[in-house]
Amino acid sequence: MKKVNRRTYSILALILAIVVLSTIFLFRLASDGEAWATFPTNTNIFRDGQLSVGAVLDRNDVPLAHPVERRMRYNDDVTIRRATLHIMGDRAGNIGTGILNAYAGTLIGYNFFTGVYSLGGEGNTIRLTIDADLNTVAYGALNGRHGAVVVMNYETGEILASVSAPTFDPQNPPQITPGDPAFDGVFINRVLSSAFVPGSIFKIVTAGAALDTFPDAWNREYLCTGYVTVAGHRVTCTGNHGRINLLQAMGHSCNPYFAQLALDLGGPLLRRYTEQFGLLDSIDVDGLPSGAGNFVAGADGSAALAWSGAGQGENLVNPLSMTRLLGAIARGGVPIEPRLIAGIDRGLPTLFGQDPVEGERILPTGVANTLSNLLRETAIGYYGGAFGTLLVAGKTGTAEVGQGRTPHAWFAGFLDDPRNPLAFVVLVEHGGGGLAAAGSVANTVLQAAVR
Amino acid sequence: MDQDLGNLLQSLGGQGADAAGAMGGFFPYFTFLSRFFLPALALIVLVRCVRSLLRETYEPEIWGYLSLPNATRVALYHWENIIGRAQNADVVLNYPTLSRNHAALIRDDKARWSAIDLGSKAGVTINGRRVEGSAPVEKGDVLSLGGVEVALLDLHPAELGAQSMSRTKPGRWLTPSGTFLFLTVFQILLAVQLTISSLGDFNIQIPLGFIALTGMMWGYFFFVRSLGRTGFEVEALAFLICSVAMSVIATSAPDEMLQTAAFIFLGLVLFVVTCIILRDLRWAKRWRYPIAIGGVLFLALGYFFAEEINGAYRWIRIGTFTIQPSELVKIAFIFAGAASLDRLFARKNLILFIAYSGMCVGILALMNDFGSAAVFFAAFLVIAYLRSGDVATIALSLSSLGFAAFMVLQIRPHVAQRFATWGNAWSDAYGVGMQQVRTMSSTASGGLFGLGAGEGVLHRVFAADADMVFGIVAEELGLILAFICVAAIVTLAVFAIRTSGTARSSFYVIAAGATVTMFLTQVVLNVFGSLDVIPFTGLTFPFLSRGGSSMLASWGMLAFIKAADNRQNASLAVKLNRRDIREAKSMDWDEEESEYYDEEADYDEYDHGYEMEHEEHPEPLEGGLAPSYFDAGPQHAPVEYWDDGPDLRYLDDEWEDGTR
Repeated sequence: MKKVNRRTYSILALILAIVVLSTIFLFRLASDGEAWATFPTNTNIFRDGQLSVGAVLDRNDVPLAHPVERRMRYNDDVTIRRATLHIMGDRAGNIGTGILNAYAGTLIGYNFFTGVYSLGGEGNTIRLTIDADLNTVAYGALNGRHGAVVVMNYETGEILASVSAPTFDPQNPPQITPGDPAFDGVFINRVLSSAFVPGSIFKIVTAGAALDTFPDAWNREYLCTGYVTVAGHRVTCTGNHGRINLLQAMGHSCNPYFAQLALDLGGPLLRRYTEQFGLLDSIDVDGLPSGAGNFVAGADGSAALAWSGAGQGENLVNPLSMTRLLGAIARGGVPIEPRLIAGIDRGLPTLFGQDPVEGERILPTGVANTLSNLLRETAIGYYGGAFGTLLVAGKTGTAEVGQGRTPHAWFAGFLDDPRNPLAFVVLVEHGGGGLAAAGSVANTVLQAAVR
Repeated sequence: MDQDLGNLLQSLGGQGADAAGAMGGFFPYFTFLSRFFLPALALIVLVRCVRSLLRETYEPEIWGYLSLPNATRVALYHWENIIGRAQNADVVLNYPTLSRNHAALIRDDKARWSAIDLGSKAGVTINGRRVEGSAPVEKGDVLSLGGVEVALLDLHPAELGAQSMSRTKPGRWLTPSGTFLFLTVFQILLAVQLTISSLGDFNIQIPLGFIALTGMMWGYFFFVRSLGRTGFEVEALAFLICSVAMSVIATSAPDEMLQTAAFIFLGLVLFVVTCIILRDLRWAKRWRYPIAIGGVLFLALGYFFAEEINGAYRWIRIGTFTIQPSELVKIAFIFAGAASLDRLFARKNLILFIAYSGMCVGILALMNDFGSAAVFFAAFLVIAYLRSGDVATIALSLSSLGFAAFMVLQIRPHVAQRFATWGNAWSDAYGVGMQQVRTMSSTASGGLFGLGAGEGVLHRVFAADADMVFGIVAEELGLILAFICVAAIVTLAVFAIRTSGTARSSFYVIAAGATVTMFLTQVVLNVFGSLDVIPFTGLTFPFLSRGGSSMLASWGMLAFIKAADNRQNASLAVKLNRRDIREAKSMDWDEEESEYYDEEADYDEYDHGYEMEHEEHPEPLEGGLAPSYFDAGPQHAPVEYWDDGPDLRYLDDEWEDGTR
């Protein structure tokens, strides 16, 4: 008997198996539980694959999405729905960075201890920094053209407007055939996730690098004869500007000037400044990653490097990262990290509002202020009247996209106005001239923003 | 009438049909609180059972003594004792002429002893006569084991009775009625919560089902209590899981509440009947063959007549009822596998059992029921190991299983697919991984405390209340309660292991071991298969999964665990020696001497069901041989009774002190 009794301890192996398997499961639950719970077949919180709990409001408590009879309904206004599509996300989940998709776990209110339970079964409310009306104005200003508009308060980091076009009505999504030019890249949030050839707005970077590197940068002069020959290639210009200084070059957007400036700075240094200005790495916007930029430093003395200084070539920048950079220039060299979430209401005393988060200083205060003046003078001197009474500082851009197509139009800038500390970037794809296309959009949006 | 009651309750709750979703009424707050009270109550029940099982003393019974050549005396703690040189023999005789396992001394229900020569080198003689195989031993007979002479000293019935009186009865630390009271509160709370959550579609069966369950539980309690039994931990754990099962049925199939209650009742009946069969080892042995053969025939019948449901042929349909042979055959398999010690040493018996197991596992594999095949195979491994202790046999079995599994994966594509899905459920979340994905989703949704009984959605998935029942429990009642169900099964297993130390016969040890092996394997495959930690096989969780066959089989198997519960007055499956106790009393045994003799079971009053035993021992003891404490003298004080041999491992200090 003693033998048989002792052998019964072999059964402990099965108990051990239960302990081991339970541990594995609990570790998985702790790390992946949110993903499990927010899977669309979980009908506790989804109906027909749609989130049925939680609500999203704009900064003025305009409901952008909220459940009606356990079905998520977007805002009643179709223009608001179209204007905020890329911020909110679509139902099919194609726009993964949309709040409804990326913040599903938060809307549901998932946590390890209470799962998706909430007392009324209604989930949490997210309040965005977005102003739905401003988004609508920006969407209207694009007037059907593809592009991106972003406006950010550079003292708080709040993104007030973020529009990406083309767009569609998420409440009644259309049939989208792949390759349809009307829906080119429609599932990409151009503000957050894309990177584009910067064109002349990159001259802000080249100018900033020069101001920080050469003590005489402000008065530095180069010769423009309508072109400059670098290593056998012609870097062409829109006009024959003669011998000009930095401000004149900025105003005329003179390619030969910035080509020669870039050659003097050298590829590695220009790349270092691009990185320091936050244009290469992805930035984190309340957990959403922005698109990374790109800068290929051509060999010293090469035409590639020369074109880089003028923003052409293989360089790419993300509109939101550019906005952050302009904000940093406006406030003396220290950027504020952009954010999209103003607060989360979990049914408990709400903790709305959080302190702005400063990024790493990108330029000494003096240099940043000089650069700020440069952009201010450029706007006053060369874009006169385009912005009415607004204290705009900024730079136009016209980015060649090749194949003989109309270039992309850019305008990047900020308001040098303590009452309206707004940084902004406008991109109009194939819009043509920077000021005419992008500048007018910027003006419309900013006029609405300061009202 | 259902509707009227539903409307009335709704108006009490203060809100309309979607009461649970509205903030106005108090129902959401009731649900909020029930989420914490339910796991707390279940935990109390579990902890009471665990503490009781751990705290109890597991005192051995002494069935006789062996007097040795050096004038010492060794107690025989079991009905089956191995004598030999081996360290793990029950009676260790360290003489060079003895074999390691020399002989076995075996007692039967009628207190008849016999000796078996376990193939010793030097042989066994009784009063000089050579034992071939097995021979009866009368008290006072002299056994010679390889020249070492020992004498068997039987115990007088009065001594057995006195022993029974002095042994500790369970229920001393934590009263079973208290545990049942907590269980009742648990059931009431569940019933109210489920009634509230079902108000939009109220079904009178929900409260009625719980009333039936609670009624059955107390009916069983008083029935067994009236038979003088005081150990209820094992049944309380089963009732705890059954209560959770009723909650699952209330959400997934409220029309089957009463049917489920009826199956629990039938299960209880099967449990009691099996307990009664197991009371008498001779009965149990006699029923072994018919039950075993009937089982495999039933299984074969299942193969020919079963309906296909989801690719597996598991159910036989009779009218509106379906029976799952693989569940009920588990009981037969355990009967076939359990064996008393006299049979363990015959290789032929083990080979017969291996053949029997092969047949069962083979038929199950043919029926595409690989989950059940795995459960039977695990039970086979444990039984084979308990019986033979032979690691080589086990290794051989495992390797042949590996080969068989390889063949299966080659010819059964859907099994291979299940293995392919394993660990990749999310990559085909709408296809083959759907069940696991839904289970994981719901388990995560529930958190630790659940969404509230009746508030989940997983039950809408086909067969979720059987194969994915862990997910339903976790979703609605929380992960804590789901793991309490697992812990209840683990507790049964630990108890079976612990109590086997005092079991009378290896039959009970093996049967209990095989039972808990099946339970544990089912839990492993059911729970972790549905959570994609191991391949998904679709198997029932004992007592918890929906299905009458599973419920019946679980209760029937529980009797094997109960039969190993050898504490005094603990188990319906173990006889009370009422007559012995009466005899001890009539011989002026002073009740005061035994602290633990208490009045709650008055043996004279409750003397039903006692079968006449020991009739061949009417005469009092013969003076010289009996190691009796009836003789005056300090050396025969009651404590002497236990004072024998070097092996005191069963006696914990507390008990010894108590006796003194």
